Amino acid sequence: MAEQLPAYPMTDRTCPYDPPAGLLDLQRQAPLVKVQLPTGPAWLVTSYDAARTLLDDPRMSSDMGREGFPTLYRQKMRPVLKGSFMRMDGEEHAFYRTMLAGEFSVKRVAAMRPEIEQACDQLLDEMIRQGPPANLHESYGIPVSSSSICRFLGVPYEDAEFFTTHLEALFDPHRAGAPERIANSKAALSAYLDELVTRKQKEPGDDMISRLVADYLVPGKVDRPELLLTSYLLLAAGHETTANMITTGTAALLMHPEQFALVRDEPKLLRGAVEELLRYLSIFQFGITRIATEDIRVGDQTVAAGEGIIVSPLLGNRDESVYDDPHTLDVRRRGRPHLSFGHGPHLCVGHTLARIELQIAFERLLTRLPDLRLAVTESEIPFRTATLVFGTIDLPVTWGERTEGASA
Amino acid sequence: MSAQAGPGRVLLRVDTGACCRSGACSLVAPDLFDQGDDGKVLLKTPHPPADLIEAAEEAADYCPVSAIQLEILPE
Ligand code: HEM
Ligand code: HEM
Ligand code: SF4
Repeated sequence: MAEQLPAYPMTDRTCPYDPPAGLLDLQRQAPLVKVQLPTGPAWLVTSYDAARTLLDDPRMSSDMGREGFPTLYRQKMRPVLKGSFMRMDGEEHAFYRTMLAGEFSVKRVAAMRPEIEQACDQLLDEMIRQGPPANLHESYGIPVSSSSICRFLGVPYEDAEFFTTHLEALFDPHRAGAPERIANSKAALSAYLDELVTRKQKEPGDDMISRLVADYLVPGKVDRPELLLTSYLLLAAGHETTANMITTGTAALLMHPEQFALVRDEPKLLRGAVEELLRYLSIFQFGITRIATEDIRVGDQTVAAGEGIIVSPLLGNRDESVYDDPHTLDVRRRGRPHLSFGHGPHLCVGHTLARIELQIAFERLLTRLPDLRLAVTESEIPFRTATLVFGTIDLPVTWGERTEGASA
Repeated sequence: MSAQAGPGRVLLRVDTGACCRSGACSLVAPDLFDQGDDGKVLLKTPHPPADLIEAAEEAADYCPVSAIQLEILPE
């Protein structure tokens, strides 16, 4: 038993866009390989097919309250709270997904198109008015994402700064003074959402929280803490991820100017370009964690009941047997569905909103600022390779005289 | 979109019991799939016209729980 398992997660990227070399080495041991997490050993799923099969296997549990559940950080195990559905299985999980399914339906999200477009245009108007340069994350990525999720949930956008600050405190475990700050931020967010729910009870609006209050809270299908936690999870999971994709996706296009030109000049490519950026960037970089509830046979290996499993969208999305030339960004690619939103019953509940938001955000940006460029050299862009969500949050951009008026 | 008159060569089937209301099919192939108010898949036609067969295949691949099946019918 003296074998040395490779340590996971790995964060040492050479090219910012490519997985660490050590991780690609592990991919040769497809479909899965044992790795060492800070908390113990677990299986890492490295192939596309195994990732899809396992994520849709009911013997794979998301319940992090189970003994031996794999964690990427050294963190204390906590029981799963009522309402924290991303950590539930089966019927219990399905209850919450059913509750949210109408909200995230394609129809409902598509109806938000005009509002998202208008928000993008207003932000671009402001960028153009102030003139170059700008940090695209602060001027565009963050506000596009927060205004959309606010509108969707029914959270006043005026409060965005308040909850963004607290969410940052919650989701940055490396920042100094964390425990007290986390506790404060949790309390502040919880009190804020509690008051918001009270307001929605009195004055319902055309938004998710108002409908869940009327259809689920008032008839007693969920209790108040549950509704607060669900709202909080959506706000937290939907905020940074999409903002990060807008900024990092723009960085990738600017660093591949021929790809930028293709998307700008052929609007038909937009949908595929967003899928390709999601595949290429795989921002949820360390993977999706599960625990086996029974022995599961994968290829000629057996994952034993009680063992932890990490499914890597990053490696599955770079599987050579599925994607030609997987390490190349090709916005014209028409390949298999990527794994960046996961797969199976836990498939990202926000994928419809994120996809439509990203399509609009890139379309407006490239139309309004057709000669957008980096304002720094490529090597000066800081990429975060050690955070759960990979990418850059600091993207100085510039542009020339050529700006287009709003389409409206 | 208008469904093709008469039987097509491909039969499209959805397992509404398995459907987990993801909306992925309506997003990639809106001409073939819709969702009810509860998010469940609604099939617009079991016989996709020839120009939508690729879209049907794509939707089946996007479905996170393999609830969409395509069957090639004999001529
Ligand atoms: C580009 C942006 C996004 C990416 C890359 C992303 C990625 C993911 C991934 C990989 C999962 C699967 C986790 C698992 O299987 O355990 C997931 C789940 C989830 N996402 Fe997203 N997401 C994004 C945007 C959003 C948005 C906009 C929202 C909310 C409005 C959201 C809310 C959620 C929630 C609540 C879950 C848990 C679903 C469940 O367990 O049933 N995400 N996301
Ligand atoms: C798709 C996106 C994400 C999903 C689905 C997700 C899911 C979750 C869930 C379910 C919890 C437990 C919540 C609770 O018990 O209160 C959690 C906690 C946490 N997540 Fe994420 N998360 C996402 C993005 C992120 C990001 C962007 C970061 C940081 C870079 C992050 C870092 C953390 C940390 C540090 C905690 C523990 C915080 C605490 O003690 O409350 N997560 N996440
Ligand atoms: S893609 Fe599959 S799970 Fe999602 S709505 Fe369509 S049939 Fe249902």
